[in-house]
Amino acid sequence: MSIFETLAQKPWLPSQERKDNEHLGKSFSFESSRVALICFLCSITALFSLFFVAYIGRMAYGDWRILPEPNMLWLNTFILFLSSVFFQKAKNLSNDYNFNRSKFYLIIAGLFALFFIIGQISVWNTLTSSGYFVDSNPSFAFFYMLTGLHIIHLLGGLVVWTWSVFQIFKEDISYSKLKSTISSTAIYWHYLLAIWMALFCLLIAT
Amino acid sequence: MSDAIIPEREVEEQELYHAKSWWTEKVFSQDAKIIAIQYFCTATAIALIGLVLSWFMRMQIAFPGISIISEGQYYQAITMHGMIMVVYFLTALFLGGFGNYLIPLMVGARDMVFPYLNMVSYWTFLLACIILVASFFTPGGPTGAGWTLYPPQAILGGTPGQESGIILMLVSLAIFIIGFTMGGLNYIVTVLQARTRGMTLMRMPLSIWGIFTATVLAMFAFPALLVSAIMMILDKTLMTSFFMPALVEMGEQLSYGGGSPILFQHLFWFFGHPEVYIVALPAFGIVSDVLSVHARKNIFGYRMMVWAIVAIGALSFIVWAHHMYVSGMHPYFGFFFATTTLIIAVPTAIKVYNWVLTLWKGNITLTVPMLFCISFIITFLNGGLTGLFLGNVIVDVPLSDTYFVVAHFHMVMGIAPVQVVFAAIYHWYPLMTGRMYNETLGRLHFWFTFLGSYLIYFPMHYLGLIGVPRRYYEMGQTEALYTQSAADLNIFITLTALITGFAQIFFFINIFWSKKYGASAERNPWKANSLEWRTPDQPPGHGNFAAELPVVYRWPYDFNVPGAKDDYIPQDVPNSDVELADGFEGTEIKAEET
Repeated sequence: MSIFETLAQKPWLPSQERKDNEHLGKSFSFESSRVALICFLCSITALFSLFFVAYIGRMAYGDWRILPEPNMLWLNTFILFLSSVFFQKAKNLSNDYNFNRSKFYLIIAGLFALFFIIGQISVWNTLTSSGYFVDSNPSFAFFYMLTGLHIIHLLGGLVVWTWSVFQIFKEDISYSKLKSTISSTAIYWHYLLAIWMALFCLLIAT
Repeated sequence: MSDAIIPEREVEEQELYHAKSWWTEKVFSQDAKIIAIQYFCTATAIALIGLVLSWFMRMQIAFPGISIISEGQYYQAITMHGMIMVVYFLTALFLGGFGNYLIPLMVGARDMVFPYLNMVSYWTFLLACIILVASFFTPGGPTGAGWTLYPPQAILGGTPGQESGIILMLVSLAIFIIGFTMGGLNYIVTVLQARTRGMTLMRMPLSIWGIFTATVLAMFAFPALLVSAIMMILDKTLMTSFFMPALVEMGEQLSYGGGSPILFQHLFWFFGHPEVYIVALPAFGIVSDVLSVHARKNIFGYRMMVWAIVAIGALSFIVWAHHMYVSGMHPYFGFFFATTTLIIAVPTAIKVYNWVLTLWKGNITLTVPMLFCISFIITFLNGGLTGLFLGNVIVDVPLSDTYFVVAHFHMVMGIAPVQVVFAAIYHWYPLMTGRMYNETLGRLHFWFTFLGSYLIYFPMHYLGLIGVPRRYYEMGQTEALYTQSAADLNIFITLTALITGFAQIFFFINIFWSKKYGASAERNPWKANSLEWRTPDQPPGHGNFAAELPVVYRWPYDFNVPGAKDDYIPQDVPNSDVELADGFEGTEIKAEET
């Protein structure tokens, strides 16, 4: 039922009353943690969108300088992409309750995310050693800030990843909970890949 | 949306966390009701700091010759007063306090969906408060940049607290937002996913609609504040130039250059205007429920009320620049925002009409909660109408930065929501404590608060109309521009503010005294319909409801239904169990086809 149909209901009418009495109470048939994840991602989208708007707005000023994009960024992008692919594989296997194989891909996915973070820090080092400091120009400041925020979000994901890795090696665990956590974290991973792609496109386009 | 049909009486149960020690039961509790009380206490404590700061400001304004506080302290007081009252008091109280207490009880859930996250949310909020208050004790003191924290002056020398106060403020706000996000996810998901059987969205009490919509707004609006806080922290600490233009300070060229202070204003008000409704929407919802119960009438135009809440929420994101009419914006830009601002008045006016029409021919009992609700309508109407003046660019420009603005926003989002806070606390006090409040103290509190706050803010409109500017430590020689009545009015306002502030002691004595010595509250003393009054214990115990969750058969506004013996039918009573009035035996209870 669409939100408009819901809002058009007249709860005081007997005809509506009969339908309402049978209502389960839930608005969505999927898990609550998934609803929470969607809400959280909406909020992060608002956050990054505002940063992007600020970025584009600031570009219009005359002092904007173009930041060179080190080739390492392409490699980092590929690493994050692989991390996302491995997470998806881990998710698919855990959906089939094949946790023995899933754990391999789960660990690899997290390690690749760590490689990505190390790669990003290495890019920072390259840029600062070439004299592109955070306070040199607004475009540099935006680059450091946005990549830093992206890393912080990824680190948050790695906390959940660490929990999942610990759980998957335990004997007596709730497999359905673990499956749900891996599934949600995989979505978060893909989302952060999408954010990075958008950010990277913005950087190379400007 | 799911329309799945489930077998009779089967209600999905959620796993409930049970505390294992005194600490996890009373302090690090995961029970939403305890967390709500923690929010109430913390928000009230910090509001008292905000209140005392306002007294210092008023004393300075009324008696500038005495110089009770210095210029710097004056600006620190206005800054901290504003930020504390808007964010740390009202937002936290309505969403953290009433959200936590009311959502699970009113939708028929045992607790929030993520109780652990809920607990962490409160402690994060407390940390944010501690960091904010800590800035009073740092070198240079708290920031005096004004509650809007406009750059460049917010982080430049000469502004009080630019050493560390501004950083602590920004860090505190960032932590507050992180904490709120954890709580907000809980409020949204609990409303969407943990309602009991039969509780459709359109059967929810308007309090829940208000809190729910306000939370959705906050999830989209707070990121804007977070963005501006992060960028300003970087401007201050790493000398970036997001908001900072090229500047000369004390004859010295600073390393900043090319930043846009206006960008900050856009970001801040993209948060700031929805923030008004983050505070107002829960108040709208609560006042609707309290009015309906104490007038023994169904709320007039329930659907319209829900639509108005949703419409106001959506529109609140496209009116932000009406706070920036004097920032030099393009006239067409101002025209657009003036238009959207006037459009938002339509759903708001619908709500006011509907409250009045709910009272029309109602069986009104002037209890203390009802008195506060009626005074809310009057105050909000006043503040809303002056909003129409300020929403028009051409009228706003001469009134900008005068006391007219101070009067407007205090009426509409200061005093009005606070009156709802009091209405709500008196209304749900018997549920929260199991005892009744003292009626005499409650009425004394009401009359002092209502008349006092009106006498404080109504004359400010006059001050604004004659051009008295806000934010001035003292008028100095410009005092000659104003009539003596302006100075006299300022003294009057200050004295009234002191008396009204001290009169809040009636409230505190009442809630503490009544908690111990108040008369035991009978079950459901207001004869309300919503589920929070249908718990087996009063106050409700852990898990809220009995072994089985209640099943909902109706909306919460079935008052004075024709044919029913009682003048109310609780939500969990099916038609077959409704006791019929004499002469209606053998008939079936049916709502009116309106």
